[in-house]
Amino acid sequence: MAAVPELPVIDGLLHEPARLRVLVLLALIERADFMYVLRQTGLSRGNLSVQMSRLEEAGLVHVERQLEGRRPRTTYTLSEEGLRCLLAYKGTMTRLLDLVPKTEGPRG
Amino acid sequence: MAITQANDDRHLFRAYWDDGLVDLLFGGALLVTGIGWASDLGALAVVQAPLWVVLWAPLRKRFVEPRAGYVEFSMARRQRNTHALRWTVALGVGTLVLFALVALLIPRPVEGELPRRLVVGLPAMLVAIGVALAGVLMGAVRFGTYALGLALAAAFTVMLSLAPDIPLVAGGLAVTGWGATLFARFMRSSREYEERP
Repeated sequence: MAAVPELPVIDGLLHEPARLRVLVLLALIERADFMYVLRQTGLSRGNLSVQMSRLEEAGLVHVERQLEGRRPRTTYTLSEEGLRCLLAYKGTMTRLLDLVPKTEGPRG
Repeated sequence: MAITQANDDRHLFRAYWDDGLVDLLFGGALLVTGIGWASDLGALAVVQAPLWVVLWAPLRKRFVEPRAGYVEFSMARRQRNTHALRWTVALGVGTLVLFALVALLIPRPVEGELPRRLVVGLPAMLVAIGVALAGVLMGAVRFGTYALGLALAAAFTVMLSLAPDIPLVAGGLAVTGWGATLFARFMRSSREYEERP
């Protein structure tokens, strides 16, 4: 029997659709506020709020709170750690999916 | 580390212009220029056009940003835009210089109908070239459509010997109308977002 390949470990923090969408979006831009991330990811306000908190706690996203005139503005930036984790996740998923057999049809 | 792939954010950058505000301002500038020209206020009509450009940033901040959100694109994108803008300005100025040279080289008095007829289409054609370049800069396909419409209007102006302000007014009305449609659509979708939990 052929040896079972060792499957790479998937980062559970990134392996969640909402958080992944946010991180990929932030990877493509310099900085954005909550409303921009909300509209581009299509998430609900509550869900996005929870996910941003998780990502901030994990150090994957920097949060900057400023005043624009009299209005508060909160902007998000992907941190260096966030980018590193995202690239590592991409590598992991690529290695994992490369293990899927190329041929179609019955096995054996 | 940095994201360096050239076109990853292209769809985001293209969507940045979809609210219709730039169309409204451009259409307004074109319309006022055409009306001013028709009222024999040609020079004044042209001078007002850049003022609409100045209006874009404060209007976007006031009406679009609270609804679409605030974004800063990557340094790579900003550098590409600066590079494209330089080329756009160079091509635009080059086109103007070319037309000026052609106009100077046509011997006077002008013999025959053709050169005089071509001149009436020149303003709309110049605007069409500028709009096409702006469309390339923004990645907004609809600006290519505006450019094509203006070029066709310029051609009709020449064929029918119309006044040069007519394609500008017609183009201004069309672009303002479509810009208003886009802006209304944007405001409606924004209300839907605001009402979502």
